[in-house]
Amino acid sequence: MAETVKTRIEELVGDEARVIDGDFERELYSMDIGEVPFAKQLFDTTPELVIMPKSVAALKKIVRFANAEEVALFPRGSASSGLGGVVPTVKGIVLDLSSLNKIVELNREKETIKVQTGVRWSAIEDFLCPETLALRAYPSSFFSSVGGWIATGGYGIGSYRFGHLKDQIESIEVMFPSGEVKSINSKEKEFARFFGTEGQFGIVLSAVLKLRKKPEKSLPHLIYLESAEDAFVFITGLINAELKPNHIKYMDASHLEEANTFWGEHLFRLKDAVLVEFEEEEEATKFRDFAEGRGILADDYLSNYLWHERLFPMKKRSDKPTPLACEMVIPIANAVSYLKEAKIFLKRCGLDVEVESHIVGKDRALLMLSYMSDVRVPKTYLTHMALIPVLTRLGLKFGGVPYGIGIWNTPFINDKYDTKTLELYRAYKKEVDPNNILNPNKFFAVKTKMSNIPGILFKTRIFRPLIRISATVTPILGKLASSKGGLKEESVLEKIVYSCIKCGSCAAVCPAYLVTNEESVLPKNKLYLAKKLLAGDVISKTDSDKIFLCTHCEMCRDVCQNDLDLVTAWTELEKLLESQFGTPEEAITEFVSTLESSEDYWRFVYKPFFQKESFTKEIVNTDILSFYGG
Amino acid sequence: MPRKYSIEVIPTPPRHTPIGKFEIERGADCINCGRCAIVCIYEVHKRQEEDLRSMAEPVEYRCKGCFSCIQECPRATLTIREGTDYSRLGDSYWTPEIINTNWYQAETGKIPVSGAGYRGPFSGEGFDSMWTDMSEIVRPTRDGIHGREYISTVVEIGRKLPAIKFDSHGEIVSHIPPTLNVPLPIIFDTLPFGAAKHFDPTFLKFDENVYGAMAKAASDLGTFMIVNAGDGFKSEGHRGQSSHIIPHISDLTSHSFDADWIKACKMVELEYEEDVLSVVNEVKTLNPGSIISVRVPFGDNVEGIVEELTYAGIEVIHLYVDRNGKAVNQTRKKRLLIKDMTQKVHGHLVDLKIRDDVTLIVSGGIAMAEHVAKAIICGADLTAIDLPLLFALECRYCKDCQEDLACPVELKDVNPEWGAQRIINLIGAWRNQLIEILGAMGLREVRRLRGEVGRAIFLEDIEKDTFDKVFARRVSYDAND
Ligand SMILES: Cc1cc2nc3c(=O)[nH]c(=O)nc-3n(C[C@H](O)[C@H](O)[C@H](O)COP(=O)(O)OP(=O)(O)OC[C@H]3O[C@@H](n4cnc5c(N)ncnc54)[C@H](O)[C@@H]3O)c2cc1C
Ligand code: SF4
Ligand code: SF4
Ligand code: SF4
Ligand code: SF4
Repeated sequence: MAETVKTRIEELVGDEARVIDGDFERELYSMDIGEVPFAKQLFDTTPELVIMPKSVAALKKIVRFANAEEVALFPRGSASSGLGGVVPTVKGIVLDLSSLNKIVELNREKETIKVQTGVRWSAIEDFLCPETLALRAYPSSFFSSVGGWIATGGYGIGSYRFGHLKDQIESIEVMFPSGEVKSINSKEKEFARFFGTEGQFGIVLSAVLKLRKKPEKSLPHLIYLESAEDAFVFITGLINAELKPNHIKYMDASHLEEANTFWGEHLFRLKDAVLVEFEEEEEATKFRDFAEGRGILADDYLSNYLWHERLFPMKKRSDKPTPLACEMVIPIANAVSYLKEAKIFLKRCGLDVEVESHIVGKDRALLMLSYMSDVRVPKTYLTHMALIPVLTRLGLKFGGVPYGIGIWNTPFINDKYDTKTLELYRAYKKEVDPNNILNPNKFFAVKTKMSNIPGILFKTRIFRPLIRISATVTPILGKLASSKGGLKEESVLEKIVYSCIKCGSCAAVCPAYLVTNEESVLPKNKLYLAKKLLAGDVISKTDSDKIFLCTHCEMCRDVCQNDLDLVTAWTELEKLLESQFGTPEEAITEFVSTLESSEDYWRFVYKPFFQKESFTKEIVNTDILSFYGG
Repeated sequence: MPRKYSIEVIPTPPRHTPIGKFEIERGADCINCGRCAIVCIYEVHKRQEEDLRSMAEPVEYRCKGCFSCIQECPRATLTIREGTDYSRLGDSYWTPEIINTNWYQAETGKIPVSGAGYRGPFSGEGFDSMWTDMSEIVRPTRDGIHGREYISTVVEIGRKLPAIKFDSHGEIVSHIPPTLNVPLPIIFDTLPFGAAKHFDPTFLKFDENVYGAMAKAASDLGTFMIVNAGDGFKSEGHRGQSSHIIPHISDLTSHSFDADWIKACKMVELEYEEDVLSVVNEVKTLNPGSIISVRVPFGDNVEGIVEELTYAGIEVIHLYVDRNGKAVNQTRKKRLLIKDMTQKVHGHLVDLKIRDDVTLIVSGGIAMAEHVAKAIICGADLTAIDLPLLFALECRYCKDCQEDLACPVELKDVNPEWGAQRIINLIGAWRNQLIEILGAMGLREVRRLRGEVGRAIFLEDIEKDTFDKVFARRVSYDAND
């Protein structure tokens, strides 16, 4: 079927969309950042085609075609979400929206900017660089797409001051599965339905974002406190004191310990801490008075460093490569009690947890518990994975709500939305997507292959008791697994192929990707190919050749969330491939000349984020966003 | 239309890394964007040949300090600094710039762009106090050397006949003195150092390789090379080139020169001495077809000597100063400079109306192409060069060899083929500059440049002009006058 679909779509859209059907490339589009080993057993995750529309008109033709033919569509931004939101369930077509990334209009008077949703937050900030305006809140995945954040969480840096993303958008344009395009402004009741619903109702095409005057200063302050309890007491006090911070973030002592390990130096005290950012000197002064006697203020450079690191939440140094995380929005009042129980539980499982929390409102916190595992040790990994729903379940007890749904949190859909809302959503889904072509078999309910037998597990009623079982058995398994000891000595490549979390952070800065627009040249995907190669899988020469399209510029390394030694890995990988296929001299020559003759490339290279900054004790950085944009 | 003369330059990289003016370092932040390679016209920066995606180590010595790459590097990761050994190169006359520029020309055959190294007019004494007036300059580099391919750089060595007389049968009656055509006003002089001690086997090698390279270059270029008759270098191994060799005989008393060699040469040079004329006759008897040049040091009474020799029928006089362009054998406190001496001799011969009876070769301190033009403007017919030839072979002018120390570039081991090409490149670049100067002056023949002092502006004149107006009295600018 793929062949005929492909020809028909190519006929429909001509040059206005790129149609990708290579085996390896399609495989690349079968994943998000979540490492779920059994996904392939449950679903048909490899799409039949990937289409990258270059215009809304082309997208419309594709959507109409899919609707008429009842082919499933899986919209995809930068694939930095981790719950399966972009993962195909029944083959179908992945819509790579990354080319619909125009900045449509900046309205300086109204202080708004209209953008297509494929644009990255970093690119908007970069665009605003010469202007006097700036973004309000943004996700710490600064490299992710606007559409992706609308469709998922919507809480991030600056949410304390500016609230949820939907409060920062004036209007959106959506395309329904029928192909109809509708503009919806924030006052309409339909508006909110597109936030956090992971592309179930339509494809968000554009958004008018509210901006604000560029802050003159960034004044982060790090306060050490004795315990999580003290930290949350401090936060509550801060909120009640009516100060105007831009952002408030809690970090536990393990988080700071990790930073110390990373630097190989005892920079931070091993205490729980709160990072508060102000933009006005006056407010910061008030804050220092407030903090006096309540906690210990860290040196400026440390505060600045951590503030910079907000865009690198995953930067970790651990011998275990795979991070696992549980994210929930929870009342501030219950946060500590939840954390206490969760920590005790994870400790019993032999896991060191790390906690980070963004305060996203006067009474709510987005809490992220993460721990490291190793996907190469399947049994342990699976049990570690099974702890996520256990932690979620525990959070529910404290009034928490899961942050995202995707595939893997479907059992918690009843906990995320009240019955009334869910009813409304279900009805709306039927109305706008009667053929169920948009992101089918997730969010509302999971339907797996094999007549849905495994899918039963995801049914809320069955899932609950199951996780109770896993909660009791994992401590033992976990202990067993963690006592196993380290793996054998490996090359850099071997070490890091499993450590890439596929966040896609590197995509925003990779010049090779910029000029080729090829998914397979992305660092994360090179590592994926390496993983296959190391596992003994057969790689085609075409796929191998793409690996060499790389300038060894090390930009990926600079922004890698996991601080992987990528360029050393590229050298090793190229060596491996060279021994099999030889060096693709022609492809390289062509690549270099494309690069050097690409205006986009030169514009890109002179962007501020290429101007490297350092975070030594002496140099305190203030313009932090510049790492990606700004 | 005469057969077009052209010099085939072939880029010939050095054997040893030359001492550059700048050191360039590429930092770890380099993203291999290739910008530096695009903006650097001197090919300091390049992509790696084996892997185009990465940058090669910068070829520092080629850097001319234009700062383009420094300014354009998006990562600000290039640093440039003055080379540590550079300022120690050469001396105050043979400056590091001059040596380096000659290296560059010998390697590339290209005209050096007087970018950061250009010191402007009137920046020193000697030739540097002269400025060629190129008022007819019309974008010389744009129409390029190509548009000027019919500018002739040929000069004639030997006596020019005012008119040829024919008898009733149409036969030429006047005795036609021998002449030689040289395609460019540059011949190679004896080398000031390096080859003096020919008993030492090291120097035999030097003779074979260094002179071998020079002889091959002279032959390929169609020019001539003066060799000390006492030096180990003989014509035997270089049959094909012997007709391009001018033996220089300084030891006139012992008459120890090799008769066979003299017979094979088109021209012979004799060192000036009281009874030089008798030796001239001796040589003429051995080889009546040869041209004889008498080598006279620029010094006291040089005009008198030249006058005397010209009247005696000597066709060619080779006037030389020391390595640094200053008169030798001069008793005055302030020694005159080559440009003044040349003007004096030329003017004297013109006054006597015997200028065309003799060819004047001028040598000593000719360090760059424009010096050739300037020497001719001052009245020379052609020039002979020495040190630049050694520079073409990578000599650093450290003078270590004169102290019996090992040569840092192992000059004696040069491959003659390689060396010849380097010299050819150098001369090719010099000739192109000469053509540019001629073109800019609207001249089609280098012969027309001789004695055209109106074509140059002299610092003294400007100073005189200015100061005379200021002080309204005559000021003497030559302290020795
Ligand atoms: C390092 C890191 C930091 C993160 N920090 C934050 C954070 O601070 N806050 C936060 O909320 N999340 C965070 N995330 C999670 C994730 O980055 C966000 O959810 C992000 O907004 C997703 O954007 P994306 O472009 O990657 O979307 P994708 O992952 O590509 O897509 C997410 C979902 O949205 C759908 N979708 C995408 N585009 C559209 C569209 N145009 N119309 C309709 N549906 C669409 C997809 O089908 C999918 O279901 C982080 C992730 C990482 C790896
Ligand atoms: S090193 Fe290669 S993969 Fe990494 S950003 Fe540069 S071009 Fe992309
Ligand atoms: S290589 Fe690093 S930045 Fe890129 S996807 Fe993997 S973890 Fe993220
Ligand atoms: S300074 Fe100029 S000459 Fe030197 S390397 Fe840079 S661009 Fe080339
Ligand atoms: S311009 Fe700078 S970053 Fe680019 S290749 Fe040259 S040194 Fe590297």
